[in-house]
Amino acid sequence: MQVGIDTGGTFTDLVSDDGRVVKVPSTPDDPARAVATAIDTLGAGRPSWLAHGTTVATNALLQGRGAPVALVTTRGFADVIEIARQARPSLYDIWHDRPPPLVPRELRFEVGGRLDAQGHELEPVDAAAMPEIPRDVAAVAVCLLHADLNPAHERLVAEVLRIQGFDVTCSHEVSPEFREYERTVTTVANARLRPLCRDYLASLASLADEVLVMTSAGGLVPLADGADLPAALLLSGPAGGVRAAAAVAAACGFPDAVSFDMGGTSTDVCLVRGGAPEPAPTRVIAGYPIRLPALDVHTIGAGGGSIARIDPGGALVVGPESAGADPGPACYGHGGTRPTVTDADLVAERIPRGHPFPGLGRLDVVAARRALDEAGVSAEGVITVVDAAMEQAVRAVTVARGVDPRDLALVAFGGAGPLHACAVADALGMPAVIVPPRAGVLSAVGLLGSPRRRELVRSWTGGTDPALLATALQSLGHEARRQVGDDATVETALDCRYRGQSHEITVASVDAFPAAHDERNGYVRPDTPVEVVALRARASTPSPRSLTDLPARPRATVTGPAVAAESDCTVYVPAGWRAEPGPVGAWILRRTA
Amino acid sequence: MSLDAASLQVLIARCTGIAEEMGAVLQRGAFSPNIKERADCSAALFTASGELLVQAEHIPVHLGSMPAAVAAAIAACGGRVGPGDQIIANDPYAGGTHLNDVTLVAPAYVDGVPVGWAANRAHHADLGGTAPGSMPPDALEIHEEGLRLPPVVLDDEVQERFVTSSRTPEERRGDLAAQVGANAIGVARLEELVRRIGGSGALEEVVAYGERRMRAALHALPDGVYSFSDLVDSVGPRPSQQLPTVVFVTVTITGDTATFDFTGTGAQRPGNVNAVEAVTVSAVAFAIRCATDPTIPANGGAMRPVTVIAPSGTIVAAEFPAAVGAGNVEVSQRVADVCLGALAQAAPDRVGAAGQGTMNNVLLGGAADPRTGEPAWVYYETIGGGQGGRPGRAGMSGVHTAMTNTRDTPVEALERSLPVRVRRYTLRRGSGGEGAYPGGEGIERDLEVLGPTTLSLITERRSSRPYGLAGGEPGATGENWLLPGGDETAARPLPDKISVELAPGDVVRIRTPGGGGWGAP
Repeated sequence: MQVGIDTGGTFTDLVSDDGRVVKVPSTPDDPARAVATAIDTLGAGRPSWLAHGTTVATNALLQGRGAPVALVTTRGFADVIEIARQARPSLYDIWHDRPPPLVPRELRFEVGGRLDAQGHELEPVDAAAMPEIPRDVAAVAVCLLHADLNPAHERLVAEVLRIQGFDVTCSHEVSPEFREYERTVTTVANARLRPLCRDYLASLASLADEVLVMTSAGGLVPLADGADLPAALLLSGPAGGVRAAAAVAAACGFPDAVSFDMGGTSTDVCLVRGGAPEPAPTRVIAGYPIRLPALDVHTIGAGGGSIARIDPGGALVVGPESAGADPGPACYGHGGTRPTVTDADLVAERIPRGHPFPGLGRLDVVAARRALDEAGVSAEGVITVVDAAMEQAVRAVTVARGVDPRDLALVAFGGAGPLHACAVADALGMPAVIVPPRAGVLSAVGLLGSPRRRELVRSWTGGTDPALLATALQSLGHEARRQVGDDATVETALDCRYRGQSHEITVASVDAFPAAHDERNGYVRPDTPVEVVALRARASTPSPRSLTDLPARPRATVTGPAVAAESDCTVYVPAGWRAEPGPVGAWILRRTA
Repeated sequence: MSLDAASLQVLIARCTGIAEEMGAVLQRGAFSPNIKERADCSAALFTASGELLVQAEHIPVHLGSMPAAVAAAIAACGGRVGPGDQIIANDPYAGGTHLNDVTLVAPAYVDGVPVGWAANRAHHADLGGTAPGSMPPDALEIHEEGLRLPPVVLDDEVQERFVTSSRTPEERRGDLAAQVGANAIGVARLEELVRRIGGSGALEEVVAYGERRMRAALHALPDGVYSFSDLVDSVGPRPSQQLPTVVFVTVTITGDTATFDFTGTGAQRPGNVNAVEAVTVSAVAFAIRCATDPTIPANGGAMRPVTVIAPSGTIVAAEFPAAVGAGNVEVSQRVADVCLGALAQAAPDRVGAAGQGTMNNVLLGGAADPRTGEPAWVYYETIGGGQGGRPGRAGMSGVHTAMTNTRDTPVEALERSLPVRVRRYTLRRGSGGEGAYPGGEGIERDLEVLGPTTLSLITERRSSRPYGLAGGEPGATGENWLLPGGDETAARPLPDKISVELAPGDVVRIRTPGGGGWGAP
């Protein structure tokens, strides 16, 4: 038996390769317990293969947990991690602080030695004058200037510290790209998360014959790799859902789509092109830039639990305040008195009144209506406003990037996605809304069908000579393949820019750069030399299980206005729309007119 | 009000989305690190009559001052533009701020009827003048600072004139193309939106909403008259310029209105530390939002209940032909300081002590090197400092405060693109003003130049100190040093404003001010 298990804030979801679904309450104090319970509940014995999406790393970073880590930097640069990029998070709100530096001042140390901008040594490292690091730190991160070009100094410092018995992580190992602040933060976050994630992932090893964990880039890696690079797991949770959304959309004839995962406190959208979710080289998580390959998931702070109110200027605003899971929306009957999007959906009869929900039972429509009335907002108004916010989120990943949404399907999942998707599709002229089967547990579904994958990045200052590049790419590709398996397919890419620019575009070859620049930025500069600043290689092997061969449960045609409630998901089909069963058990919703 | 609460919010969200998309296009398409890496740019939409409708949050000093630029553009060219046209301007005496800030304004039409304007502003690193970076600290008149363009319709000839005025023409061409592209997107989206909502009338509702928000916020402040005074340390490098000028404001809160009267502020002086009135208005707009409700939308309506009296010929409303390079970057900071100091008396629990009060402008430039074929280069950076201590919380360290919020240029990015090496980038321990909630610390940054380089510094708070509040101590003053050949023992102080030629190996050390403390230590 092969299973995908996704840990969410409230529930831990399991999907097995025969299409069965298990939902058990999450156990935040030890998420592995719920994983084991889900397997027990399935009752099929020990799985042969388990793919897991985890929030352990994310929650630790968000909550400021993690092991105490010391940082060693080039002399004169120990405060880079605190200065960050100098900007404040809010222009006008003096209380909005940057997140605290991941290493406090007393654990930041400097070492002599300096490389120049080509990676050549200007001043040697003084291994004799190494700083005295307190013995009680869990690990030491070493981040020296220009180490992405020449790791010699970092290696030397690491060697001395390892002899002293420290667990050392070097920046050139974790994020070998230029821009020192981002590299430092990524390296330190990784070192901080390592002990915690190592213990957690080790506790999963015995649950199946083979256990893999999902990375932010939507690829599966063995537990040992995940434990080694936990900063690559920070978006493990959303990645599975995006993968599944992409696969289902492609099966339904829409290789280009937008995934739309609307949950309780936030909504994730991601552009999918040619069946593949868009990649992102860096994501900001809890205010920290984590520069590791990820999916380009755009998150906004509005979801089913977002609270609605009338502001002092008479506008109806929804969020960013959220009722969360506790007390939750007023209709949960757990003491919430302020109206949320879910309360509005219930009052507007988008959520069926008598339907029992897992862990909640039947919802309290009287409480929902009272909360809306007391806040002076209408259910329709709340829905209109939150739909507009969702429309802006989808615009941000399509129109704002030069992609026309009128060619894309919207793939709706998550607790509230299928309730609001048609309005968003209407506003943007999208031709279809797709509601995948098992839309309430889509992240777990995605885990089952994701490839094994490893992506490597290296800084490059070796110019644009095709032969040199080819050799370097080939060697990086070999390294990536070695980490995945001999049968892995390897793709390579280059981060390029025009000389004088400071932003790069990832392309397959130097020749492909001008066209990519034109598409993204609207112009080409034929007379300006192109620079290559980084090399990328990605090795993948496909999942043993195709997402699309999970047995489908029958779905009927539903003509709007109607509400279709399934055990894990509720779909609202507005007037003028019809949901028809499509390939792989998906519903495809289209306008009837 | 004709729109219901939900429709109003939806319209606001859609307008905001357009401005943000414009900002994204501008930043994405720009060529120079100054716009792409530092994000020294802004984007906004205006109503057909030229009132600010919505703007994306970028740089405060751009945002509050753009309405004046759009008004000037409409006045000069509004009658002779049509679909597809764009107006370009950077004249501080026609709605601009300083010459580097170039504004593009484009009209939107539906069925031939004007429905609004898209506008954006970006800081161009060099537009000529007597020193690289176009903010020569020793300038006395604006003519020394570089190309001055009144609002004109952008065509190929204007573009060539603009581009060739710069020491770095290719960069200018790329950045200008991005600005044009951003406005084109803004116009297309605005036209689409107006068609969708069936006319531009509803846009006025968004502006009216801003007015209601501001009136509600002002109403919550106690009526009263609050005044505050502070100093701009100098107006240039010459001994005659190294004397302070008073910046004085009297804030009167009456019901749901406010007046900011700068009568009592010192006269403009020969030098470039002169702000045009638009800059002063933007600092007022900034301060009032900080001290009341940071979520008040920045639109024309929000400023309707606010009156700004800036006597002409003073340092906060300079008249032609004063040089103004530092008015935008430095006087604006002090105007924000005095406005916040006055508002702190009305809202003591919402306003912190003074932040560093300067942008620490560093401009570097080198000539083309015919031997290597390297083109001429210009580099501009601003350096963060201490935020003031806040009621109940210490100030942040090493951060941009008040009228700017640009990002730094990463050390590795800087060193790999220009003949500059960063020797040190740390926080200045102990530079924050003491207090129950101390001020944040300034930054210490050492830049070594690897070739012959012209350095210009425009800095403030080298004599006066960022004030403390509620019994807190002031923050440390900033310092500028030159280390010839990098030699610590030969270090000599540099004035707050200076242009100087550096030899290879010279190091300039900037130590930025700390924030003031809040509450008795």
